[in-house]
Amino acid sequence: MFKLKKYLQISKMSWQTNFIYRLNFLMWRIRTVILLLSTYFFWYAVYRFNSQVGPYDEKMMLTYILLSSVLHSLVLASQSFQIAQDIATGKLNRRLVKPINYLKTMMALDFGDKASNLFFLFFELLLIFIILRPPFFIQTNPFYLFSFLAVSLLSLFIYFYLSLLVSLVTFWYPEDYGWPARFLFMVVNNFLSGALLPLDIFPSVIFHFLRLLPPAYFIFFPLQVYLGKINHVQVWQGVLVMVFWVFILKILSRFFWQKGLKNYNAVGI
Amino acid sequence: MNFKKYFSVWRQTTILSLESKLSRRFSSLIFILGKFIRFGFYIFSLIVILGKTDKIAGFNITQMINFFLIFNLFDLVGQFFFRGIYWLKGKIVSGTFDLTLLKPASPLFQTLITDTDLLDFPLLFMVVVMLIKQNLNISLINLLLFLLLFLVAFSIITSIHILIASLGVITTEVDNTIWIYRDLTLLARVPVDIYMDSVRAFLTFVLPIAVVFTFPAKALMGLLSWSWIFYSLIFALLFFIFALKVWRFALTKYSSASS
Repeated sequence: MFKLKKYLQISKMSWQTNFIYRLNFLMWRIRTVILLLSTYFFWYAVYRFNSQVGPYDEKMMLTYILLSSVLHSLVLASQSFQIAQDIATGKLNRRLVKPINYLKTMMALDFGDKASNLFFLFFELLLIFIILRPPFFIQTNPFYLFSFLAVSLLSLFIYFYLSLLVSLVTFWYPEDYGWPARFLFMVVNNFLSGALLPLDIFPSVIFHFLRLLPPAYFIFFPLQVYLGKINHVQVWQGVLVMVFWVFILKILSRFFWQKGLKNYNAVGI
Repeated sequence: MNFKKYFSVWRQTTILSLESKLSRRFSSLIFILGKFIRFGFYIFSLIVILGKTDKIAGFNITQMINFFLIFNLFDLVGQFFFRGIYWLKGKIVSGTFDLTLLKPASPLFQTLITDTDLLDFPLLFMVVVMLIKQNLNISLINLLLFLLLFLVAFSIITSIHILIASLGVITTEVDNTIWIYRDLTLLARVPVDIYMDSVRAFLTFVLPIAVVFTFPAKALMGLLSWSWIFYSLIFALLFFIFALKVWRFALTKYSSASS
């Protein structure tokens, strides 16, 4: 219980950090809204001239786009990139000597950040709904709603461990504070997660390949569940695949964390 | 303005920037690769979407690809020349902006242009080649109009960067502002004509994304009226004067962090 309290306190700190540079935070929130609106307006315009794009009508597509912003804030927004900076700059030295688990600390920071993202996104989306009144599909089936929450939570862990692995590359390649690997990861993720458009719009050969990869479970798969586009068996299969990925990525990240620590130069000591 | 002196400074800083990139070859390669992958993903997605739809706002797939290529052209030109603005916050917060002010060259020039990002060059080159291949049969008048609007667009991009730098000097906020500008420009990957009236008006008269990205593309394809060409010229001129005035005002508000 005491241990949990400790990490809860770290999550709170992550939340509070956002408000130190308020203008910076405000600009960040404006960015989030602009990014959402730029994708929303694009698809809204497409549906002004077309009633159907692939398997999506206007209502389903706009619901996908709006909810993908929620999952983006929940899953893809992460503080785990800091691990790479800690390794490259030697800040990790200070962190390792503290009587708290470093990786759990980063996870707690991550959760605090996600909580603040979700909190503010709620009000931003509310404003968008009041002003734009977009057509929105409300899922009423409890199975799909519950499954959506469960797979969103699982996707959060898959992303954390995958992002951690990317950060750990810095143990062996500390140049540019780990940004090259992070940049590549972000570029690939942005598309393969289905953040910009649903993956089932792509030709079927490409889609069937992409849906096997971990990024497909960050945004695309949870939204397939919410929209009820897959049956119960496919939902369970997806959950099993996600559990498999969490398990594998956790083992891999532990392995490379231990290996990396042996290779760590402890810059700054 | 002593153009010879400034060109010489730009050339020297560009050589230094190149040397810096070459000293980190693997990182530079990864960044270049990432830029190509992002471009490839976007163009592939656009082709897939257009393949599943009828014409959007009357534009066919070739025209839409032209709009996308010209968006990339100006986006990359902005990043290629003005990457220095991304480091402005650090300079202001640490107080090293004092050194910029002390040097015998325009602080605005030093802030904007002295960190040419050569990592954008390979993609920029490919985009130009693709654009030429796409538009081999254009008329001379369309080409000349495009070149004129290229200058207009470059002037507006410069003005926007000056305004962002000014805001940075006053508030130390640069990082998110430059990204807000870049996020807004994403709307211009397709012609702004497809958007609803209010969005289109905003992108034409308030934040001139349409003038920078859509108008040159339309001029190239012979789709832009003379009235919009005159509007672009006048807007660019007034916007540039406004940006310079804001910059001068911002410098009066600068408080040195290190002193």
